Amino acid sequence: MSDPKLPLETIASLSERIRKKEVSPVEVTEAVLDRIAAVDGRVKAYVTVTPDEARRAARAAEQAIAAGNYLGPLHGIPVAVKDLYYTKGIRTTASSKILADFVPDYDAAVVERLKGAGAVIVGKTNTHEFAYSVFSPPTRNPWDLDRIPGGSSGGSGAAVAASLCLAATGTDTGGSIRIPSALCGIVGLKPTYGRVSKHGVIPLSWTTDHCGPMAKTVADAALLLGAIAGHDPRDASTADVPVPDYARALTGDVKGLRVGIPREYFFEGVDPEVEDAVRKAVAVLEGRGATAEEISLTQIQHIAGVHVCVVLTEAATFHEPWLRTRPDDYAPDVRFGLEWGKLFMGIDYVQAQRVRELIRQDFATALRRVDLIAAPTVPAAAPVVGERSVRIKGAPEDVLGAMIRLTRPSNHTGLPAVSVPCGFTAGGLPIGLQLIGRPFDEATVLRAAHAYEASTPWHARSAPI
Amino acid sequence: MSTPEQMSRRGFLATATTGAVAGALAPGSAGAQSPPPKTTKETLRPVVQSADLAITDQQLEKLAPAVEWSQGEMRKLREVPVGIGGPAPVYLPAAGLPAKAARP
Repeated sequence: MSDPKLPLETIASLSERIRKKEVSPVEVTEAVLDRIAAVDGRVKAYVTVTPDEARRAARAAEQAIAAGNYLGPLHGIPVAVKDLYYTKGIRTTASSKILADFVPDYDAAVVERLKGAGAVIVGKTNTHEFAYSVFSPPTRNPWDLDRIPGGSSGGSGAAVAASLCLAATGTDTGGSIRIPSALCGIVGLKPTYGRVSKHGVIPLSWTTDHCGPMAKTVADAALLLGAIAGHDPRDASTADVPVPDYARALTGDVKGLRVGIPREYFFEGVDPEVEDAVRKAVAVLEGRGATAEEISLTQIQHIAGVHVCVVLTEAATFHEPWLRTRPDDYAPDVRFGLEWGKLFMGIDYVQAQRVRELIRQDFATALRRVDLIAAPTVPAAAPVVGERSVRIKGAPEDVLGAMIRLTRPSNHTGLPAVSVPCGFTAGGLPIGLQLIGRPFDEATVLRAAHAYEASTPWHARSAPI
Repeated sequence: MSTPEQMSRRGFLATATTGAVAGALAPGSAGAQSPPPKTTKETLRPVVQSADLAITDQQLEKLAPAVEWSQGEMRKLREVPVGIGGPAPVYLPAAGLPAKAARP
């Protein structure tokens, strides 16, 4: 009989107990597998659970630690991997019919690094098919099983929120790490473009795809990022820049940090409960010594056109062979987006990339004046399953469009952005604060998020499942 | 809003004769027995090749409002003054900022 409390812990606390040999990786892994067996029938976060591989890895970790070969804070920690990452010998489906039987013969770079850090992979989490939307069926939100978890990394968000793993990986092309993190009440970080290798990750849109961590706390996200970040010659988009010790950056000190509040876009069409929680969160940072000031982003109005053209065209390019030969094997909504993506002209794509550069420069100018930009992660709490439209301030809006509206800019600028819980709606649904930072300055993003988290109780609440 | 006829599959696929167009454009390829096909705006600027498009008329009808919206967005993007600058060679964040990132 495993200890049911072990999966509820954080990596930071559990790794300390593992290091001191107070608890074994085998015990922790068994406890997580038991919880998956008990709970995942309702949450449906996993596509594939890998108990045999997990037990083998946990036993190896136990033996290594017993022999004095402790690798660090992820050693013996059960984590989940989004089913978009290649896993050697383990089915990688992208939650699709097309890849239903695909078994890679190598690991994605992130999976290699996690294994190298001693992490125990307990399974593959559900994604919206090919990461192409935010609903992630059949996964449900652990805070309210009638609601969506968000997506596309919805399985990872739900698995972390329901303590079906200690942390997970996600991918983010328009907000797919941050959206489920906000809707499921966890921490999710989209690192700087080039910070984490995408080698072995099924692409959606090469120039906007990012890999990153999803965890219960900022400290855990920092530990995961530290393990997976770094240059990889197999991914030409990764940058050869030093990787700092993110955990050590969490000093709690935000004195003098300048937080920008965008005058345009980010607070328009936002549910009042969400806006209130985010503005209060900024006030909390001010209370700890940060300063807040309004900033202007003069090119942000072009983001919708840039996003739809760049992402849809790149996605259609990758999927073109399957779309031609197996169109009926896509879910209707995914096929819709892919067919749409084939109808853009070459000059539109290039022009979108040129305008994208203006947006990047616009954010760069703002971030010379401030250290961070604060905004809501999503404009409303988790929608009900089956709803295709949400009402925000009385106005109906397509769920997909609403969910990605505030996160997609950072996919095009490449800037690091975190979502951290900043409150709950009156209905008990989580709200996310988004902090956007300078390129390759995840340390400051995490430091501010951690300082905020330490001043508030939200992260201590558990999903009622 | 486009009419269903404007957004019909036939509308998109009016360019399916591009094979003939390519032949017409290739130097010295005009057959002696058949006159070269007439070049029109539609044959010169194909949106998609019919063989590449698995979509049905019914599906295309559903797609029409989205396509129309994105075409409007593309028109707006073409009006954005971008000078003579091209896309960034890579999509890394703008240069020059990491140095400032070191500020405590």
